[in-house]
Amino acid sequence: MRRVLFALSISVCCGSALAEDDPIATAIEQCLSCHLQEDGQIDIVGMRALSGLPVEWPFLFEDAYDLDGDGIAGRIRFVSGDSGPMIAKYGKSLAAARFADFARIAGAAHGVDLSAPGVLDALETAFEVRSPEPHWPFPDPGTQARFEARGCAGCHVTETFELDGRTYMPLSDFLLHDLGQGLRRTAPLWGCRDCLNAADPHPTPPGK
Amino acid sequence: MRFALIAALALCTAPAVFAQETGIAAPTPGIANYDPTMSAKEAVLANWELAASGIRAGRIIGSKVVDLGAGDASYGALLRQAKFAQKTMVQRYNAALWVYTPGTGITSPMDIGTLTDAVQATETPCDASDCSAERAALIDAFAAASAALDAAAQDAKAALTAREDRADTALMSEQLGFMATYLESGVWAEDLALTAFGRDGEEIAARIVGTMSLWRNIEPYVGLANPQLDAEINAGATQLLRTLRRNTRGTGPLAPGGPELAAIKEAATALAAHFRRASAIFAA
Repeated sequence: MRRVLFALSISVCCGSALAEDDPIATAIEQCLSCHLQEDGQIDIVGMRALSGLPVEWPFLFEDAYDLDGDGIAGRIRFVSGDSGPMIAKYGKSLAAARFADFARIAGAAHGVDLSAPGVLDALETAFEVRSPEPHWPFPDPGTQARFEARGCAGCHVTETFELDGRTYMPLSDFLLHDLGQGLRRTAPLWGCRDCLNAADPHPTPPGK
Repeated sequence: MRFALIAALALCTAPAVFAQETGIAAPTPGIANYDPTMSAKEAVLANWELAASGIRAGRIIGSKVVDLGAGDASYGALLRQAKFAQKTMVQRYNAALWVYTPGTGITSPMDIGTLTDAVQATETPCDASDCSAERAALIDAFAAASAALDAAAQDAKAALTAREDRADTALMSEQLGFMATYLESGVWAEDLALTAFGRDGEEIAARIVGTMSLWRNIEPYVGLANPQLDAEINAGATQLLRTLRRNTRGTGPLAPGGPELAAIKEAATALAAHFRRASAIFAA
């Protein structure tokens, strides 16, 4: 943690010249350059909460073959891990179970070198301290009732979990669904305010 | 021989420990730094994890009802949570029932009566001002069901752990064999807990679909070994799924020996035969 803050302070105060000598600072700077917002926070909400999501969460909602006939099929995705299979929760296509693995995927895609020892831990800390805490998504019970009545809660589930004395409602079953554009994870809406009252974000694709 | 050695060396340099198996060819990795594709052994173990974590999810959601009941939630709120919870508990436990197939090492299914009691408790409305008796019964039923699910999840996890050191070919053959045995045996229609509630079709469907779900994780390895068989299994799975939907949705209690169960049995047996052939591919 101290090293991350040190690296970030070097990056902020002294520009990128010094950071280039430190692979950790360089990697963090490169990754933050795409995610950092003007308010100093990153554009990914709820990273700490996501890391504390119960492993069994998707099992509460999984219905791989639409067994209950509600028209919604959603499946868990397992991915490779160091000591066995793991249940994925990161990424739009559930590509990783851990932040470090997802960072490695993103690093490979964007040409960021994350091979230096300690860089993944430092990167995770740097992102977590800048990730906004989720807020309660519904301003009142009526909004939640309308959300559920529209069928949104079929995937954006309104179940909650407790973490460090706080109650979180990620509004995602963390399952893969086929909406006509390939398998996609239900997007967590815990950073969303206006979108709960927006028009249907899932228009039916032609021919579906 | 030289190519085999090269393939073996390539597998040994893969990042994940479980990718260091050499028996079964893996799909081509798609991402350079981290490849989420499971090795064959991981795919089989994922299926055991599917069972263990699934049952554990039932325990967790059941315990949540108990915790809620201990607080100041209204009986109505408690009942709503309990109705959601029992659905998950029933579905997850039944989906994992294949783990009791002979040879898995798990011999004693949980007392399924505890699930019946939990479901029964959610069928008790209370419009009175004092619902303390109904509340206590609900909490007791869910506490008992949760405890039983907890023990069952531990059994499944132990079975998973016992397989971690075994060769991927043996595990793959065994897994496909369990799937075949379970589907062809017809035990999925026995010891039903919810017939009295008209939900035996739901239990049967959960048991069969829970077994079919295992296919998705291991399909890539069978597909690489025998694409034709892969296609036949997928066709058989689709047929079984159609048959299940047609014969278990909204049908009420299913009569033993009736046409619905006979149709399901026929489709399940056909798919089991394909799984049996796939199992033979990986047998020594």
